[in-house]
Amino acid sequence: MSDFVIKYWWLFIWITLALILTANWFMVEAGRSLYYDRWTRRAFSIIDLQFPSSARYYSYIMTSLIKENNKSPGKYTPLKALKRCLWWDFIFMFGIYPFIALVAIHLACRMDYKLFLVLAIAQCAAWLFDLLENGIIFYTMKHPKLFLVTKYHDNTIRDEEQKERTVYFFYKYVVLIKWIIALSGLIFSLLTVLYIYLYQGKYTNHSLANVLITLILFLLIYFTTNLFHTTREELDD
Amino acid sequence: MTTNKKKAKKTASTLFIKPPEVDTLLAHLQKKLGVTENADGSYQLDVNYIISDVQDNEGRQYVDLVQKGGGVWGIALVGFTYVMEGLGIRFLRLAGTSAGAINTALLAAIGEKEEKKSEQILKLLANTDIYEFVDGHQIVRLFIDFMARSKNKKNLWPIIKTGYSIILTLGILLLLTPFAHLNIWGLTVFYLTSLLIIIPFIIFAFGVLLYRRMGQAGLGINPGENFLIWLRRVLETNLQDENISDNTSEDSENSLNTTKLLMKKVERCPELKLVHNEYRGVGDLIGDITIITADLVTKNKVELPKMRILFQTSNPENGYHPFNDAAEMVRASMAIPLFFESFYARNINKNKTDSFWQEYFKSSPPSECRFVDGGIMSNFPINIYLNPDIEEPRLPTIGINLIEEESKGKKAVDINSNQWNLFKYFTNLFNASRHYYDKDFILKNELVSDCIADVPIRGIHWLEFGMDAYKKADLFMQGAKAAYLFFYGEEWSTEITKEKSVKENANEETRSKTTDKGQIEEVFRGFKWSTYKQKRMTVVKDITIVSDQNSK
Repeated sequence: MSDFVIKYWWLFIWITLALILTANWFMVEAGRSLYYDRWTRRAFSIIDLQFPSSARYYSYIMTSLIKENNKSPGKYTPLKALKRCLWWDFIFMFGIYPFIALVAIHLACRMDYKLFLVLAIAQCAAWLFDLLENGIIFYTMKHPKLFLVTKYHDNTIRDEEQKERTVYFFYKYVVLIKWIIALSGLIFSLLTVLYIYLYQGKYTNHSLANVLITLILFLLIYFTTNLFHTTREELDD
Repeated sequence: MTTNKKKAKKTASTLFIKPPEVDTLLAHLQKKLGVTENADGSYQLDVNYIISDVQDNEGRQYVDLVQKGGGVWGIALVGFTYVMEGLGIRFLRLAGTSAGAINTALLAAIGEKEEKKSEQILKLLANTDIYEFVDGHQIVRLFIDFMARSKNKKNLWPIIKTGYSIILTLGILLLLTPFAHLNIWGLTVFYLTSLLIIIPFIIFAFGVLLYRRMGQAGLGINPGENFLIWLRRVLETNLQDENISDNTSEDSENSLNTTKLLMKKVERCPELKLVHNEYRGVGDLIGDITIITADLVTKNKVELPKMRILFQTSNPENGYHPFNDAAEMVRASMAIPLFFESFYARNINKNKTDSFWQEYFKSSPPSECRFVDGGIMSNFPINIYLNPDIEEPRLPTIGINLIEEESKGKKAVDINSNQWNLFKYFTNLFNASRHYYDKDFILKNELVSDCIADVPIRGIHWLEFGMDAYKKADLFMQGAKAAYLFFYGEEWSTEITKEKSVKENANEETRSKTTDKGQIEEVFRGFKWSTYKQKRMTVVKDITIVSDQNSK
């Protein structure tokens, strides 16, 4: 298994990178249409839904999207844009988690550190959490007040609508754990690659060239994405 | 610790109750001023202690009230009005900016004019975690909280900076030695050093991300939605009875037009009478409410709900008014620049509003307006109800002025203005221009200052939304103490009261029999309505004589 991975390692890496960049392109395109609230016309992103300040704020965005679906300066209606983002996110997942896992597996094979094998396997958990997160977001598009609960006490005004339900805690931690696993996998793997290159000199000209190509490709895609997609500022104007 | 216990602990630390000392203070003040509250809610007042000529049949006295803005210091406003209501004072017309606007709206919406409202506002605040109003990103909330709390604590920043530099230098030095090639230890040092280098970049990138989000969201780190939803719900709960009785309501199918209901409620007055010079009449006295906000597009001070007609929109979804919802008026008034997102009125119907814009601002209507905290133009709108040209006022306009205690009596020599950095320079520049509008009015009408009660706030930053229950109770108490000082003229102190109470109890009976008007005035060094009125009459007469001579 490990021989197979090592043999076709760069091929797998290119496939995952292609998936990441393609999905990213379409997610950025759809993301530019994410607006809520008809009066203030506020822009938001998937990150805002991943780390909402409160259950009520999340619910407010979702309710606003459903109620004012026809109002957006972007290419798509906000609800459609959000759906597109989420569907492309599934493709993105096929790229990002295998990419991190591949780097970690490669290091585990070369350095004989079990930690990287753990990091590689942990990416499966992160992937699962990401799937769960998207599922919850899809569900809240139909039930925007999923995270809320209303309580009244003796007819006194108690603003308890925003009190968090267990499902909101679950959602918050699912997102947080996903980010921790993915980021720690990415940062530690890339730092170790750098350490190997700098201090152990274990690299070939071929691998160095590939790393450079990858970096250039990322920069190129980043700039072209911003160049070809209409910016928020242009939409607002 | 289980989640429930943690939750209970968190709730206990953020939700507060009325400090017991406030009732002792109020009882003491009532005794000193000769105010007796009967069981049926009526009042018996000492003939020598009158605060307004306008009273109702139950002995309640009516005043106009102006409340200054000041973030969380608004809790002190509730403390102040709590004491006022305990003295039998009620509010005919109300005005306020920002935090003052919140208390203004609540005082107007809750109960009837003759009822006590501050106790209910206190209950409302006690059941609300105001930290939830800071509804921006969690990291921003933590940062704001840290900044607000650390203002009165030891500055840890130099220690963090030095520690960071030392560890980073050590890490880099170690990586330059052969030690770095030792596999596991070298790798560990490499990880730590790299993380120390990466972390500032991550913080910077996060800052850039937040800045971009702020830009997209109207340059405010908090959307202010939690506050809007909370206030909307409170107002709707308190005004829905008005809607039932309002048969003419055009908005029954949509959401409640709480502004219309609020205005209707605030205009309603009990039967009023004048206790001096009845010939002046009370027929023209009706309740009113004014909330101040500032429009950055046309650069105008906007008085709501009076001027809401200027912002009629072409959009039928909101009944053609962004301010049909009274909570939105308050939201516009408390949009502290950068802290809360601005409030917008878009698609203004130019045809409909043109004549009103000409009337108010002598200009054409814009297509949209962007509102921020009214405090940037008039944080203390004392000029709203106070008309210094009226010779004999019927009721006073009392202003509650929230001030930071350090700024009281600050000497110019301590300030070192030549050493200000750019930030401090611009802060002072901004503060000078924003305060001068109200200050100018007070300076030109020096009698106004007699009606202004300063509430010095100490130890709490005005943006410390995450403060604990003790600090909230302390703020409430600071407001109550300021009211004590304003009405009685002496600082409230529990120890003094205890010492005095023995002597007073002994002398009380004798004094109550022998006290005449002159002695009362010696005892009360606080706000004196009769003296103020007399001063006003003299000043206005002088001005009239001078202007008559000039015209001749």
